[in-house]
Amino acid sequence: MQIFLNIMIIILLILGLFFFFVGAIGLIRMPDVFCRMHATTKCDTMGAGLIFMALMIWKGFTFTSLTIFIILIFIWLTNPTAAHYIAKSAYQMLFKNTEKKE
Amino acid sequence: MTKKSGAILLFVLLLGFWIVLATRWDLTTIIAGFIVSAMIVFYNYDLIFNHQEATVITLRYLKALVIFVFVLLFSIIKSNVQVAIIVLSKKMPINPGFQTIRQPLKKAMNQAMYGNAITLTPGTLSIDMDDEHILVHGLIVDTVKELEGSALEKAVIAFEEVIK
Repeated sequence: MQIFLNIMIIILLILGLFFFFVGAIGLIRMPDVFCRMHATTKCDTMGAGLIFMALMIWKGFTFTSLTIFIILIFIWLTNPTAAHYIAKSAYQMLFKNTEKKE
Repeated sequence: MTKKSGAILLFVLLLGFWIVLATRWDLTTIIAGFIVSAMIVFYNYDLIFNHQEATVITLRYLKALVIFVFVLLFSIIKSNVQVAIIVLSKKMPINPGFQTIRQPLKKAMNQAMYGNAITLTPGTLSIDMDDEHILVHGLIVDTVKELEGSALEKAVIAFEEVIK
């Protein structure tokens, strides 16, 4: 049983690291601000979720797991909000620049 | 829900949050949490609840919430796999652009939730919204229109209809 759990934890950790890796690569490869936001927000959300899930399985049913779960929920709430705000300000800057050129 | 019961609910939630984060059951900790929560509720009493936004939590509401969360989790996984494939492919088959879609919701809270949900779905990122439209940036711009009538939108609309 313990071995089974350990294997599951390792798989989750590797998947989480993979998504963080993809997010970092996307940040470098994508052409502009908005596309970069796509790569970073999505992959970071998923990567953090999987890694925290692995930690929760490792800790079992304890208060620590509950705390980790709350942290996870707050990450999932704030991550898209931050992305939204960055994208909005980038959009407004873009809009202003094109208006000036015309 | 009146303002008073809302304040009491917030107080209980804050105290529970404090106890979970403290992970101890001493008398000192709980008294400190009690005082801090009471002060937060007292000083923010004017800001806490907006009568138009307040809802009664019923069984149907919880059901709609659970369905929404499951649809959202599924689309998060889908979106991550899709973005990972795009990022790791050699040519990066993207066609980014902006697109406006309709805004199906009325309440500010639900609009915020839907905006966050759009950011988490495949290849879309919400940028700006008002009461009628949402401005969305898409990695592949043709797929943005598919959000209208998708499972996520249906889940959100069901969520709003229950609240009425």
